[in-house]
Amino acid sequence: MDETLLLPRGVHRAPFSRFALWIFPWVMLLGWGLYGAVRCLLWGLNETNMDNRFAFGLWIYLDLTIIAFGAGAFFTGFLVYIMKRSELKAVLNSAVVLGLLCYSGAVAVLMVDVGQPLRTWFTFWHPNTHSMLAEVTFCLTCYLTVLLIEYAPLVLKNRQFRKIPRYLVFEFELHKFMPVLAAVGAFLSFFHQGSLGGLYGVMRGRPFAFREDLFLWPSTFFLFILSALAAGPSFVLVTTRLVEVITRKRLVKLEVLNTLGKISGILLIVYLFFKSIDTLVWINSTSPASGFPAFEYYERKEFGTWILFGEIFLFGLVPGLILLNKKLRDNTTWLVGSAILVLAGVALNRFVLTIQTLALPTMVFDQFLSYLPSWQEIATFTAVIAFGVIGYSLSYRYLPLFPQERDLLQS
Amino acid sequence: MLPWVYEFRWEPWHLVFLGAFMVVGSILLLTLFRAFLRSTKDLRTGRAANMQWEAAFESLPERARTCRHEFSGEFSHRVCVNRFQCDQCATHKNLTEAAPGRSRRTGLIPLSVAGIPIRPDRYHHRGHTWVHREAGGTLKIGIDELGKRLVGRPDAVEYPTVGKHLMANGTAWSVRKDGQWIKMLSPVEGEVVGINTGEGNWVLRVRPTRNDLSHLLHGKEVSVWMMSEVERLQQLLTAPEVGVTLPDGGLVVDDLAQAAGSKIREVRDEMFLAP
Repeated sequence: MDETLLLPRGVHRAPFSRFALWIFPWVMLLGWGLYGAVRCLLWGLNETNMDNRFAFGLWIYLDLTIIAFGAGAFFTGFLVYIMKRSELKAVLNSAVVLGLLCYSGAVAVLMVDVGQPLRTWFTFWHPNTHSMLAEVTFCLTCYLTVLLIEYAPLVLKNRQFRKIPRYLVFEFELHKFMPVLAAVGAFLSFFHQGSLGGLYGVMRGRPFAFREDLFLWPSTFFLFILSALAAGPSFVLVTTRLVEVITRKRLVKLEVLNTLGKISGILLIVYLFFKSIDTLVWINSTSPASGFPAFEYYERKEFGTWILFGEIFLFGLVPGLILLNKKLRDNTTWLVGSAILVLAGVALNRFVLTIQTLALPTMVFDQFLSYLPSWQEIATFTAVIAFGVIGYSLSYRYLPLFPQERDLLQS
Repeated sequence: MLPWVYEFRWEPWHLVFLGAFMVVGSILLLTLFRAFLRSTKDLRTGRAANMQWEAAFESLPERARTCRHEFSGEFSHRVCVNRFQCDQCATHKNLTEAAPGRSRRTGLIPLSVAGIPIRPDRYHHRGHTWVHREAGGTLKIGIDELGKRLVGRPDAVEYPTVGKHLMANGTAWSVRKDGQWIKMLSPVEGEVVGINTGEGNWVLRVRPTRNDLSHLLHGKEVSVWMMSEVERLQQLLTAPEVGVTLPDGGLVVDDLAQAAGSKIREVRDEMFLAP
């Protein structure tokens, strides 16, 4: 079969040889990453630089970050189907693909980190009722299922599948249930994003991360949700623009990116407001009550106050204010640059809670620990990135991800 | 957490947690099941053709979905949102009721547009099929001149059988050219009562379900539409690196397949509104 018959109609795609040239290095990277992952599965976590003391490393940091970025999927679906922001339909398909790749990548890394993937069912059959991760596991599994169901109609929209009546009709009927799936996805995401934050907030043995309860959960539960809501639209914005730059095509109207930036900016400011209150409460009350004045955590050069300044101000307030300014948003450089800063801020927040929390000593006999990932960990990390790039590239090439692309091409 | 786990005791929290996931799981399963059941019913009741048309229409670019009232000058720019089913469009109804005397079908009607002849007695479907009323209440259906030039001399034709019921916007007949099957869209709903397999400018004779052809283009708007189709064709044939051009006349060549080269398949799919 002629490969061009698989391409979406009315749009232009690079010749297959050029596409193969693009995919090849990512496939090599994926291969290298899988080798590193297989070594970890076969010979255990000795292949990594994690140990009983430093139990969270690069992988958990990666998990938290890409799950936060992947929130764009459920949030865009929520905005389109529940809040009726129909202009975001232009990026909805792309957001679903990004979400699916982010979550499946996160689950794959968890399989390697937790180990013994053949016993994954233990998590459901013998859940640890005292851990936030029990709820995270259930929610992630359900949400991954939701994403797969949301991805299915997109695959069935492929030009060749559309010619088969039963596939077209099934896609048609399944699409009518998208609002239901969007609502379920929003419900599940609310809880698993929050529970990942709650995981750190309940760690009494780590006063740096520990937070007081707000209703049933620690404040980090809500802060993780808010930061994910702020990061999601920015991630969709940045990836869309990145694809436009790589393919040298306009895929969406500028107003769509502008809307994403505005939503991200508003939510970021709301997040920063509550984050600031939370930080002040932690500095003045929670941490001293645990026996640690907050300034002690920032005495080391590696994790000085610059990190707090960076998280709240440089990668928080600055891009938030830029994204709220319409004139600046209308400029693509400011818009995309600010969105990248938003993502950097959320990534930094996840780093602080994962790595910095464990590095800082708490017991009198503890020492400050440094951690550098092993090559096997880095390989597995890059495998997830490569998996994401390959998955997205294939989806972009063969599926109609951007409905506005045709009209923009012909205008 | 779960009832079969050792030392499990029911607590309200278990009911909430398990209940929530049972509800989510049930919703997901029910969604898939209902979609499957409904699609089975749709296939059984023949609604697939309607869905194929809806899918094809939604995938059309805006340029191909221009409202007929833009052709007749009532709007400067308007995109059809009713799948060209003007009989179901409130705007079309309001416009025709508001100005019944102002006919879009009077005035001089060009008999040719860019070398494409236009017959004033025909009704045109956007998929380049036409309809002509016959005395006995039946309709003749054929492919218009632009469509003929796009297809050329077909390698094979697949006709419907006499007695077959055609759906509006469903497949009337198919032609094969250079290994590509092109589905010609039916402009009306009705029963096939005659097939022309010989020479001639019509293909099917149909007894329509309804006598109303108001959803089809007729009169002066046809020439405006045909001109826009020629422009659309021109854009499809232009290489993307060339960009937008402004041709100031010319005639559509007879052998469009040769002119289009390797793009002809894509051009045919676009012009015949294929799904």
